[in-house]
Amino acid sequence: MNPTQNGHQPITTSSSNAARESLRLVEANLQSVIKGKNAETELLLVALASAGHVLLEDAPGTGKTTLAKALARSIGGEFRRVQFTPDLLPADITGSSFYNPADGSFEFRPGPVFANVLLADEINRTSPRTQSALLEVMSENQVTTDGRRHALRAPFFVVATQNPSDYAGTYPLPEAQLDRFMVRVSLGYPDEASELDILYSQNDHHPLDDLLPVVSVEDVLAIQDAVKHVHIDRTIGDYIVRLTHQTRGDSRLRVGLSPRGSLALYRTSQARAWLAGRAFVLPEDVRALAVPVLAHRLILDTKARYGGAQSSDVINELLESVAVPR
Amino acid sequence: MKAKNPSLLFVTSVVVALITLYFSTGSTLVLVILPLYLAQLVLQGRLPRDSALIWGGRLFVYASCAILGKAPVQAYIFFGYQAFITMGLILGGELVLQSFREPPEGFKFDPLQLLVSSLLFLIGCGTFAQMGQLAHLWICAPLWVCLTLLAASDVREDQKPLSLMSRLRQFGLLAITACVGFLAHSTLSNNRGALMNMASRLLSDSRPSVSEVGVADSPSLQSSFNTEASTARLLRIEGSLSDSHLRAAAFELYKNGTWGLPLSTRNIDAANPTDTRELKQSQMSAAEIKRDPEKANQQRTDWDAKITVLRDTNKTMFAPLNSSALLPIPLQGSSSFDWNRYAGPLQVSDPAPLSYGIVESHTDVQGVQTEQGPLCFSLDPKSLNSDIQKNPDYFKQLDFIATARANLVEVPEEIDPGVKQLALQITRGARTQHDKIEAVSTYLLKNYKYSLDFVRGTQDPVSDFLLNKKSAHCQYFASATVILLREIGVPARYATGYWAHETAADGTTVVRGRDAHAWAEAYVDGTGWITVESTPPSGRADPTANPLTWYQQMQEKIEDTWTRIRNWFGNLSSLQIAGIMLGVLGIWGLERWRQARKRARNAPKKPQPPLELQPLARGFEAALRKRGITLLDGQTWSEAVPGEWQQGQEFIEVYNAARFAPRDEAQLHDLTDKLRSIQKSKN
Repeated sequence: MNPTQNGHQPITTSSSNAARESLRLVEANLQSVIKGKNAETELLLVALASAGHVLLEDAPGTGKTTLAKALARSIGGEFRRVQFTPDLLPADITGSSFYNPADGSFEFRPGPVFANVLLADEINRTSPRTQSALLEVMSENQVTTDGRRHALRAPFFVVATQNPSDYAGTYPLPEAQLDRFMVRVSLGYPDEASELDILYSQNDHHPLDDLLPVVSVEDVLAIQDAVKHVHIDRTIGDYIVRLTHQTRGDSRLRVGLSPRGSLALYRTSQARAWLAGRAFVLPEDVRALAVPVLAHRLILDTKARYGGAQSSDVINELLESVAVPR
Repeated sequence: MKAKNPSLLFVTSVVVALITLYFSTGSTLVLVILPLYLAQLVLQGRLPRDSALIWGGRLFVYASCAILGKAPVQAYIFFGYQAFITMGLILGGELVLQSFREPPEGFKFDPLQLLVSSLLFLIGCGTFAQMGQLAHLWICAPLWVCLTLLAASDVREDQKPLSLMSRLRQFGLLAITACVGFLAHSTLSNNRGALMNMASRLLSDSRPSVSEVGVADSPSLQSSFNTEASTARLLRIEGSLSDSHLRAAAFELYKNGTWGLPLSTRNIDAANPTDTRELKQSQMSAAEIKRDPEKANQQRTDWDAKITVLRDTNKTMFAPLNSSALLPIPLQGSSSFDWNRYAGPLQVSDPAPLSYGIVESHTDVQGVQTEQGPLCFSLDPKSLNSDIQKNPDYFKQLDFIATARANLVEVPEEIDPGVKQLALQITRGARTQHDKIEAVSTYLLKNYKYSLDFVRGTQDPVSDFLLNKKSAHCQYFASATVILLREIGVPARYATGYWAHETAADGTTVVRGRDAHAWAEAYVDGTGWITVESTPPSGRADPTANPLTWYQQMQEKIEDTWTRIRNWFGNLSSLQIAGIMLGVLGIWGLERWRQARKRARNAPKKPQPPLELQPLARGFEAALRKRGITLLDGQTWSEAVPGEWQQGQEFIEVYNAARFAPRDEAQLHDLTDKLRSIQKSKN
């Protein structure tokens, strides 16, 4: 549902209003490139505002990379892109130490992860070994090589794209890696009107080329800080915990939700409330985000998977059965 | 899967079913419980969606069972009215079980439930499996199995439309079931006779008839005898009857190689002392027996041997010589058997009892057998009551004895004269009747051979056997003995029946079809009737020569076990069955209750708004209910309330702010006002 439909009077300060406006500009940027996918672009903003990483998963040609590039361009920080190919090595991502013959010492050359926005394109086309290089980076914002810790600059935002795991030439992402993505967004095919729009908007040049940075790195940091101060009632926190606890006993699931999952739902709910101009979280925020935030963290039991069940169905069932705070 | 609590209507229908059961018959119960159950489904708008066909089939089965319940009462000899009650119970139980299985959310397939209902159904079928009623069973049982299989596959995991694959799977199962059904049907119709025999042996107390050999009305001397040598069990005897000749019939008149009864004995009611034998009663009076038949049966241990009939014997009973009484076990209505006391087959007018006890008679002080039992009639005039005052028929009876004696020594005309010379030659030197009989049987045992291929010529077969062929089977030996004895003036007759000799370690003796036999009986003055066995031992069935295969032994064991189980159920009273049903239901209900309590204990508590907001929340939810808006647990207000209801959406908005944001007083006042206006507004 559209968070603005309730028409709340924003109960926030003017400075955060300005930050919110800048995020709205980002949204406008995204929507000029990706037509008719407002709910999905909103999710990207939620992830950005809650300092989480995004996994874009869908069939080839649906605009995943374009969307990721549009988001990267809209943010004023440093942008790097890694094309995940099967022959990629961990050091190609994190960076490695080189021998410097001049002074006879080893020198660390930072890899592409040392950026503000990292586009990990086709992330599941590289081996699980290389994918694992992202584990530390994504959860702790740092790289450790040769016993030395190299901190990344804040903000650090990973936008990864991938084809569904049953496509040819893909490796499934490890569960630990999936868990590190705040949201998973499926773009899906555009409707007819939007597709027509896409055709004509790219007539002479790609609208992506027109995009300008509309939000600075400082703005992003400020937004991420403001989100943390959105009030979240204990009963809603309890609701989140009850949702995640239910998944741990479900016979259809091989792996239930981790506390990282509850935490992600908590933080994104705050971000969604903040984006809607509210200073407090509603159960609706939790419910709207449950599938994109939680579904990719669940591993279905083999039997359930062959039975045609999907993890999003499990989440939807939970949403129906677990009592909502009212 | 969320389990539903039973609805009030459901509980009512169970209670009504049990009450009806207590006061009425099973068919009424079916009539009562079915509409109630259907009403429950219809009223709640939850007729199972995808299983209309299955339920149609089920209802058909129930209906046909109910129709069966209206068949003539005499079809239910085994259970009587209990059959109705049992079937009603089974149907009731099945309905109850199934109704729990098919709530709208679907219910997990429970093998235990299936087992219980199957068992109940089987018992129910067993109670109905009377002669001629089996066709019904053969339709019902496979149909029920198919339907249950279908129902088991019809577990609806969720309310979503079924996927193509699961539809295909279901269709495949349907196809397989249909194929199996057709296969079963064609097999059944092709092998109907054999199957009916098997089923009736396993499921009911009706028995296939025995071969005519042992119990024929007028046995004629054939070229062969009992060629089947069937190992099928006919009688089981507990007690002191091992190695004895169980007589089913005795014949006097020999004509053209066939034994029969003289015309005079077919019309002897006036002359015969008594045609009907009063059976020895237990010490209980008739009224007492009627009141408590079980106790009466328990007291009936005054027999010396007990015969259990395993095959239908066409109303024929079996009794050895010197049995003074036959006692039906258990006591069934009439306590006496009618039979011809003089000769002929030992047939009763009613169906023979399933088992009966035999009381042996004992010789009195003078060494005279006072009473020799069925088919035995004293030829001694002294045995008659000579007091004309008390026995006005004395002279008639005297006359009858004389006629009978004349019949028993009469040698038919067709017998070769050489036979008489042979008889005299054999018994030369023998003085007493006993010696003569001994001489005849010894002669035959020594000089004649057993053979199953006697070729009958144009001659009289007995003369042919005695003078020329000198080898034949027991019919010829028995006939020859009778003729030889008659030639020397000893009253003798031809007896048929079974020779009981196969005694197991536990003391029970089994009589099989192959034990059919014929022998002679002679009347010795002062002693009475005695058995004369003159067939060489090689001609009598020997259990060690033809041992049963392991398969036959196993089959017999299974049959016995099944009979025991069936009898156990058959002996249960309706109250006991109701008790068992209640027990099963009780355990099941208790288990459900326990699980429900466990679930309730584990279920997370519903989140409640803070105290100051609770009246507002309750008031708003009441207003929602008034407007016909149903609210699920997993639904927020804004999801349940239609978007166009401005007033409601406004309230929710302010409430949410009060509920989930840090609170202030002004909001509370605002909310109270809004709720009041909602409560005032009609729509």
